[in-house]
Amino acid sequence: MASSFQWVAYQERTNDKQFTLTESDRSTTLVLAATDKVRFKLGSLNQTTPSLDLEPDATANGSRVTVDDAATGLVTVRLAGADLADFHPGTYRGEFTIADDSEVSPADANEHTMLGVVTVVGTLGGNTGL
Amino acid sequence: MAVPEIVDIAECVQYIGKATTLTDAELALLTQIKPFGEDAVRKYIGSSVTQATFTHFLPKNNSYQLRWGQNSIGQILRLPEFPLRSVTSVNVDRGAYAGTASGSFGSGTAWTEGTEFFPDIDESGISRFGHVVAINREWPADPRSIKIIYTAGWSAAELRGDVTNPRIDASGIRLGTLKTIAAAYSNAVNSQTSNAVGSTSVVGPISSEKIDNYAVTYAGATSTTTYNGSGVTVSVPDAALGDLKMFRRRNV
Repeated sequence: MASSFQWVAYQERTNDKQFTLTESDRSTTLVLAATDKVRFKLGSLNQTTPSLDLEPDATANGSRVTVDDAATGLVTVRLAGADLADFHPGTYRGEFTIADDSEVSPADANEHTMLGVVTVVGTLGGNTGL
Repeated sequence: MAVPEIVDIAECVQYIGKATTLTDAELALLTQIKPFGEDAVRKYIGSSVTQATFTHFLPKNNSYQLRWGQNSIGQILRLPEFPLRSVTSVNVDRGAYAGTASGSFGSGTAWTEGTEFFPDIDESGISRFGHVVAINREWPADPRSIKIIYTAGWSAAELRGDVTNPRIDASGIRLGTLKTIAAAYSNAVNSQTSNAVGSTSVVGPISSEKIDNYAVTYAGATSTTTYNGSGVTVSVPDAALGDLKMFRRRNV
């Protein structure tokens, strides 16, 4: 399927969601190599730079992509609340890409994996923390 | 550079209810239809909608006879794009001929904002009608003798409704655009389904019609080897008119 997921994420809240990445046929499990880099991009309209471009290295606020099981393409994406603070509540485009270390032409080919709809919902402020 | 989008493809997917079930074929069709829908909205509203900077040579020659050297068109210059947000520069040169004359629109032809003209900005901070007013003078009627560089259109935040001033909330344009795209998409899907090559559901022309106790009979398909559809209609549906009508420019 072209659109594979729908995720409702909340501003100023930590949002975690686990995904099973597949090949472009949407059924074959994607097997990740240790040197591959999984990215999750979030944005809308004709942006050349996505609003969020997540990698295994976390952002300053803690948003990141974590590979849970490379053999089965299982990954978890964390959207930190602070990274969503500047998003106007609404619908955005989410995309997984893989920088494939085994590719040579082009090198480290940037491959599309999954596309989905991410809805950012506004939340109430107030007290947080322990 | 492509024309800026009014809505994102993900919003369209969400709107037609296929966030988790959209196939590649459906995404391909939606991607094809989307710009037609946005274009239909732009044509209905009568502007480019999305904010940009424009360079225009005015006035247009809308009359049968060219009005060379004949006084003016008045104090109000009505810009093609709206709402007007700011004016970068104005140059007035009766012998410019849309900038094709040598040395046209030189430094001596510049008008100063606040002295020779001002943008007709209202309490919302924009000029919804796209007017620029000449001060103690009138705009020349010579075709294309005015060169104006200005910024007009709705910002991405205003189109999202992410504003504190409700007078510049343009989210109705996005809703109307989503409705237009969804209607065109549905039309395309139905057209493909009923008129596909090899389809057995192709309907031929009317073979008989009865008025009292109305009944109509369609002939069978004339061909199942070609696409029999008459094409997809892309127009602003009735359901979207209410969302978009307030963003059109009235004749003032």
